[in-house]
Amino acid sequence: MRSGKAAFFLTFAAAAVWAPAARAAQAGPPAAEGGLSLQSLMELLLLSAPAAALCTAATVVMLIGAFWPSSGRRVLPWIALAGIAGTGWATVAAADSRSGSLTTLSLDPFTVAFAFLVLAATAVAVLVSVNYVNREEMARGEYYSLMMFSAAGALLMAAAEDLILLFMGLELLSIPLYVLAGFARAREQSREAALKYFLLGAFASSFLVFGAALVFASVGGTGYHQMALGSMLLGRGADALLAAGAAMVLIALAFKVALVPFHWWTPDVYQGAPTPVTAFMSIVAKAAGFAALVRLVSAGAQGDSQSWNVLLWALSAATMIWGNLLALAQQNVKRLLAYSSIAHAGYLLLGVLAGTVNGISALLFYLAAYGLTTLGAFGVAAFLAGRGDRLETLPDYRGAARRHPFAGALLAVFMFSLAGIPPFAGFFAKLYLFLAALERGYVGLTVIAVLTSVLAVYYYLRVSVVMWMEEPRAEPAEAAGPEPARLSAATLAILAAGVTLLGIFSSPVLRWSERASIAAEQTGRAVPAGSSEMREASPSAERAAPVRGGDAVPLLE
Amino acid sequence: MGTEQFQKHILTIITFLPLAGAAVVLLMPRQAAGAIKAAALLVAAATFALSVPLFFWFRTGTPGMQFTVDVPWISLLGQQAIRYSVGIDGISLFMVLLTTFLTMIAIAGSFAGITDRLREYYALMLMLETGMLGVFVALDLVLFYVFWEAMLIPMYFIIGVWGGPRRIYAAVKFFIYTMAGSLLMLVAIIAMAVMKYQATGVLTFSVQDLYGLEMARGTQTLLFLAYALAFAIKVPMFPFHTWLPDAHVEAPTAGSVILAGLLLKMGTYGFLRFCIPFFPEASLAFAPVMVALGIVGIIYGALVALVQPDMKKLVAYSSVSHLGVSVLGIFVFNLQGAQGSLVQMISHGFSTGALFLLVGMIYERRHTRLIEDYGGIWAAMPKYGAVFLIITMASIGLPFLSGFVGEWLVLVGSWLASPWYAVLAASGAILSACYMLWMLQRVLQGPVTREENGSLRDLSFREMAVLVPLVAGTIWLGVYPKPFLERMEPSVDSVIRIVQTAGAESPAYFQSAAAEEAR
Repeated sequence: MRSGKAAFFLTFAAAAVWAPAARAAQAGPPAAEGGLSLQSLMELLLLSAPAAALCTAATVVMLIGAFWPSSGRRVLPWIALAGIAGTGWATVAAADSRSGSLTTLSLDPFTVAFAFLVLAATAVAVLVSVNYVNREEMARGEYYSLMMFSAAGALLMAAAEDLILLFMGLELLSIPLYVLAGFARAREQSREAALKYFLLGAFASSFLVFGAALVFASVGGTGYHQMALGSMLLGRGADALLAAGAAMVLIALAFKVALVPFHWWTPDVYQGAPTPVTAFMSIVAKAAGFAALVRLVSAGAQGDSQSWNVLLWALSAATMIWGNLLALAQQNVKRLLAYSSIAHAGYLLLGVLAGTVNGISALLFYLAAYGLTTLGAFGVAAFLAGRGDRLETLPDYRGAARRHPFAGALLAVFMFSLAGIPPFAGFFAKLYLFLAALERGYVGLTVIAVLTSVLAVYYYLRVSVVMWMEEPRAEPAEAAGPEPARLSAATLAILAAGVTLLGIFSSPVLRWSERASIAAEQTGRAVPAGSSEMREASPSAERAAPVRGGDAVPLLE
Repeated sequence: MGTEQFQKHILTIITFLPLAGAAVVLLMPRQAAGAIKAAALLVAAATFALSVPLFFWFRTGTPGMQFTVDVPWISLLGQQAIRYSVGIDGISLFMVLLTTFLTMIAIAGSFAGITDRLREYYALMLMLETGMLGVFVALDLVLFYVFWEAMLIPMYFIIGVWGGPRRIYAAVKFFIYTMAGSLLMLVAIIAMAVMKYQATGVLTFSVQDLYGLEMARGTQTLLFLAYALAFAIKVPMFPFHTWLPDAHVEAPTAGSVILAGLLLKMGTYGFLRFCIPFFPEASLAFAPVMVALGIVGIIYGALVALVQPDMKKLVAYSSVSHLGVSVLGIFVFNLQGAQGSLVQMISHGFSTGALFLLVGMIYERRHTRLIEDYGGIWAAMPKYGAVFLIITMASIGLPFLSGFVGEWLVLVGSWLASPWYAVLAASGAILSACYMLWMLQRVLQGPVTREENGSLRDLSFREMAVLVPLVAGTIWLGVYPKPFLERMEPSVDSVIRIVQTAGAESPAYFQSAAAEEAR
């Protein structure tokens, strides 16, 4: 096992090396003016530390998987986790030494908070995967490595303040996901999911590129601050090119986070992809899309925000209504969760729409709560499906709690949290989101959100109904399966505990997300017109000063 | 822990002791049925025992909150916006005592009826107790709402897993109905906090701080309706009562006891604690509607109960009727009415709880609840008959039993508001005598029409032990209600006063009152 240990440390180090690099860069002389000197290249690498560290670790994992194929079953997941941990460390170190942003990329508290969200979600997805990929005979090195690459794309999307970088992040996020969706090659559904996701995803990416081109044509750059400046100077809706470009960018992101009417791929892909991949994609891809949206909308809010708000309002309402309505009719649990994830995107959009520090903070909290819950729900589904993913429909779940009371209890907890019932995290997430939305006077939309939640309660309850209240159907021998393997049982139990406690003890998380939101809200603002391209990020407390009036953040800006 | 410390934290201890007990019960081995039952009963009894001192320590003559604890819970926007804030006044004191008392009885009453998945059942019962206690002690709206909804989860499982043949339908209907009402209340809660915040810069969900919040008339009306819907569904007031018969009939006996005895009271409690003090003008404006719905509930519930062939359904509809009395008493806005309403709530908890237990006990023997399957069982079960008779009399409001005190006070109160209210409400009391006595006659008296009924086992010691405390409660409340009334009076009075002040200040109401006087 010596080689295992060596690989473990190698991967950690590969990611963590970005931390000393960060220190070194800080120690060096300030960036030379203009031009792409070595120094400013260092800065760029430093600011992209989270994504870069994760990519490095992912490369190492892939190489280890290639040269040591037998590691895939047992050792590799832990190596992947080491890489993720190393990335976390590098992120903290980089943020400590050089918290700031180029005009294209920022390493502010929002990026850091978001990085931790994504890294945690990826780590959990890896843990949930272990038993599954071993059972389904797909334990190959690429699996974990692709997940990490995809997460790196998500980190890049959250840090990007330029459409070109956003595009790079989106592609880095998506391409591994296309592969992962088709990872269960033996199953036709999985292949279909991959193809469908790829075709529609490529289509969405092209929207982003074309949108970026239009923006460039209009304001002469692709940075968010340029868009913001452009929309301010050009005035309300004056420039059709900019508006069209921004709308296309919005469409690309709406596709990624599955907003109605750009959601058609979701149910098929969620159903066809291997379940842990679905779990990963449901939180990481969504979170990345929303992070980018938050930055874009915050930047855009300085200019003509009225018409955008109408658009976002309509998207949010349509997504909540349509997602929840269609979920009612689902028999397949993964499809049900797919429609539920669409509906949740609609709720999350409330936070973007509110756009205040409070709204963004609520959105971050919601993502954390939703991530814990959805990872758990898909994790239980992956276990209950049994070998070959045969048991995925509600009738298959009938009376399952008699055989697996533990899994039944966990799934009930996750469902109640998704439905937003206290004391679980989902409730508190909704509470903060509604508070933010009502502050900005979105009463109608909040009422729609609330009424659609009632619909949602029905289909979430159905899962616990079939599991706990209906009698088991005639016993299929292979369904009886063992209790979940120890590792995934422990992971799922921790997730359930997290879902229960996150809401009740939400203060620390809220403090952290509020800090991150103050940074995000500043996106695209106050770019010094001076010599340096570098925008120094003040410590959050100072930066908070203009936003916080007295001891409170004003509700109405 | 010294007595003083104990006294300070008593509400927290009482509220969370059952939850801790639930965790213990869940960890016990599945096969140890006897130990599981004993542990659950022990926890419930301990909770009750700890809550009894509240009654004695409670200072009479003051309307304020007592035994308060108020610590920061969740910070938002750099403020300690959401607080763990608990306390009781003369209104919630009795709700807390009723909860600990009835839960103990309900747990003891389910020893024979529940045979499957005991651990889960008793753990859920104890969780339910924590939820209900939390609702009655919470003084922060978010805290209140958390308990208010969290409590649905155990009740949903109790009905859905251990209930009758249509249990799933009943459980889901119960859950969704209640949830639909409460979510709008959640929006109203947040809206109130936001208004307060925009007016004063302080973000708070504290009930005390939100009393007297200034708001426009239209806003007040909307918010009142959002709250009122949640509570009206819970009570349940006509026409929102349709979930109740289903839930009651399908729930296991203990579930019905808790539903009728406690859950429904959360609705009337909510009116007294939140709806009316928050929105006095809107409450006054809607009083005629609420009174009308209350009276319709009284008469409609009684008439439907009259024709039920199923005993459990009959008792369920009688709850609609009795709770109508309670709503009427609240919305006539005078001391007698409101006090009567509160007494009616306690009394209904005793008598209906006992009735469900009685129905459950013969159901366990004969596995039918149809009235026509019985007849003349008094001869075989004299003890059962005696208890049944006393409880029936309490339920229809015979003097010196609990039902009388509540109904009489409500009738006085409604007479003061308008004699017509009293006349209509009294007709409900007469109808209740009809359906209850008729059921008594058909079940207990007359010839033994079926062979099986001749040889029914009389009440066992355990069953007597479950029922006697309830009988004692009805008699105490009926004969000597003073300890109850003096404790609730100041608090009830302060609620009524808020409305009366608002009425005096509000010109529209003033004019109509003056017009009445002129007539």
